[in-house]
Amino acid sequence: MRLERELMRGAGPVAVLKLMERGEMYGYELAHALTQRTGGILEMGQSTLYPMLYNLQAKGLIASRWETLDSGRRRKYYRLTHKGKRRLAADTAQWNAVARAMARLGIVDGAAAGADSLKGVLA
Amino acid sequence: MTSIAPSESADAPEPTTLSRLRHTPLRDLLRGRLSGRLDYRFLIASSGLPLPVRQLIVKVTRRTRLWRSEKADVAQELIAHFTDGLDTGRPVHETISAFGDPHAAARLIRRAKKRQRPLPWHALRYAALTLAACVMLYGASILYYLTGSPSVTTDYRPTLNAAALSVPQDQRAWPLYRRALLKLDSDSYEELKHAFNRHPRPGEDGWNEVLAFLECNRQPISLVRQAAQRLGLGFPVGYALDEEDLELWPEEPPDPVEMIISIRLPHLGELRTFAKVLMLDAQHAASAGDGETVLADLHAVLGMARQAREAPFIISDLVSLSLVSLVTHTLGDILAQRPETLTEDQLRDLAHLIASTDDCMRMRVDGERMMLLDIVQRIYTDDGAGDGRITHEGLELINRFASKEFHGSADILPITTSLAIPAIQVIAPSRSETLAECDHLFALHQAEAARPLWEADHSRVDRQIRQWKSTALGTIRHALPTMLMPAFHKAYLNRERAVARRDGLLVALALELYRRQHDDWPPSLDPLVPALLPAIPPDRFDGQPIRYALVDGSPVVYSVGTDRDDDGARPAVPRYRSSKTDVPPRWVPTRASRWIPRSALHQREDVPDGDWILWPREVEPLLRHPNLPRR
Repeated sequence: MRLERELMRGAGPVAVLKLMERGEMYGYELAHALTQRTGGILEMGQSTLYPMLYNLQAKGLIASRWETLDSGRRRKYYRLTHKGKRRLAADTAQWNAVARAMARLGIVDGAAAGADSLKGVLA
Repeated sequence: MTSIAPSESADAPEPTTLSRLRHTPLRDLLRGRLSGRLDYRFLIASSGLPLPVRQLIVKVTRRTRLWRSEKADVAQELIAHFTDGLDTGRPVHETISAFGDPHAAARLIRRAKKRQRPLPWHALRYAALTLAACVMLYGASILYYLTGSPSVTTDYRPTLNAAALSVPQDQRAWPLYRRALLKLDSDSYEELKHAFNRHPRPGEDGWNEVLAFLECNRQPISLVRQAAQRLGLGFPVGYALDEEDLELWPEEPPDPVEMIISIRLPHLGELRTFAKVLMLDAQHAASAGDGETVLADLHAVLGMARQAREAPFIISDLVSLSLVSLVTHTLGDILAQRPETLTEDQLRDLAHLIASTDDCMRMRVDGERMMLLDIVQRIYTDDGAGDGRITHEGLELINRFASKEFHGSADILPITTSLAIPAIQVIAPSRSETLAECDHLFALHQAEAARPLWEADHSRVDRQIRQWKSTALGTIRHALPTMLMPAFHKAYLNRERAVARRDGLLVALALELYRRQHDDWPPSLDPLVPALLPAIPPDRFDGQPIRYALVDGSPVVYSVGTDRDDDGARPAVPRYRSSKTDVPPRWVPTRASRWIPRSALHQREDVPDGDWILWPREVEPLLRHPNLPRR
């Protein structure tokens, strides 16, 4: 199942920030992890991932650096900034509140189900 | 898969030195490195990726239309992305497919990358966008204002000429004046006028020249007397002169600017000339003891004063006023020097005639109001509800007024002014505001003109105009009323002085009649009332009865004058006035008639001490001077 564009626009950045919480990640790795860890629900076209990363970087939520691998290849790694961490914490709290509210309304199938659906990303 | 255009070829030859130089950042150059690392095409070509992938990266990167350094960054990141993808073992087509739409990618990457640009760039960008929006808005405003046209709907000439056209043909004076003008030896008159500082009086040097002139011009003088008796002048004013009148004023070509303000009134000057000639004739008649001719000449000039008021312009009224003053002066002089010329009946007749000149001393502004309305309709658009905006043609017109070269070929508005139209529109008043301002000034003037001089204060009209002109913005904003309003206060003061002289003469006539009845002058003016005067006229300077004194046995009628102080008929010392050494000084015998508001007297040091002698008037000594400047 693919999310509607507007929903994806809200969930995508926080999901990307969450993925980077554990450490630096490069572009392809992020795209792959997003697909794998959300069961494909938050999968986004790779062509839209990079603009999102540039936007997060423009907002100061993430930073990047180029690294040259042993093979001589260069790769750009992204990491959370302090500002990004604060934003992630705030967004996480909001998403939890939304999930609880949705559960109370019966839109999300029970609190556990709601938690499960987001657990992959928000855990 | 998206097709790849030839221009998006992923193959790039080995860059030349020049190409490397072009694609090397300044920082590297300063370090002595010819890195060429901004050459994204070469970066992609040398990435070792399969051709379709390279083509895709070139396509996306090129379409971002970013700075070279940004393109190089994007290209490197996409190279790394696809290398990582292919390293997982995914087929090339799947990797390309998973990437998504390259057009959308290029668009989104461009947008996101621009957000990363430095703050000064964003500031400059927004400044440029704002400037461009302002320029466009301003341009649209210019176009909007240039499309507005004045709506000239009213021709005021029929209203201005209503009086002239109502005069029956056989009662029109102008045809007789025209004939008189054609017969008058005007060159001789001009010579006479410029030979002296004033017209010679009987017995003075130059009087023989006057007599010779009068003798040669008996016929036109007679025609003028006949014309002055007619019902009206019958001279319709317009933008061009009547063909017959062109013979009189060949130097007056039709004015290309067909507006009420461009109407010329050359006939008024001719009426003044005729009046002066008639007054010379009256003095000649008086010296010859010919009271009938004196009476006829005075009657004629007062008739001309009435006729001069045909078109309701303030200038017409001022000319009318000056003709009444000529009569006042001449009759006053005759009364002082040769009173026996006139019989008692003639004196009474003249007293009644002079007393009935109030109508010739009224100041009207109807013509000026029409002139303003005419100008306004040529400057503004008309929205049909009394308002409108200033137009390009209107600004050209204002430009003409300001350039002081109003008459003549049309001036072209400077391009800078055209470009400034929207700004001017913001500053300039609208049609209704301009009309309201003009109405305000007219109302102030009318209220002031209704008051006698002794109740007058500083002119509120002048004060208002000075206030408007006290700032540059005000000068621009109120340009029309300040440029076009006539000098109301000067006209008002002229009238009040003329009334004072006229009233002084009425008292003098009554005094002469008293002397004939009692063989002596009265001790005061009281015995004159009511038999010879209905009431003693007020002194225009303080509202008290006009003053009278016997000085060395001779009567003097006077006003307290500027200082409002009765000095017992002692005149303010006449002053010769000249600002240039090569110009003969002018005699100013009426210094004490200069008006200064009572409230300002204590602040002024130039208040003339003495009284204003109304009768017998002091006369400037006669000077013969070949180069005497014209007054």
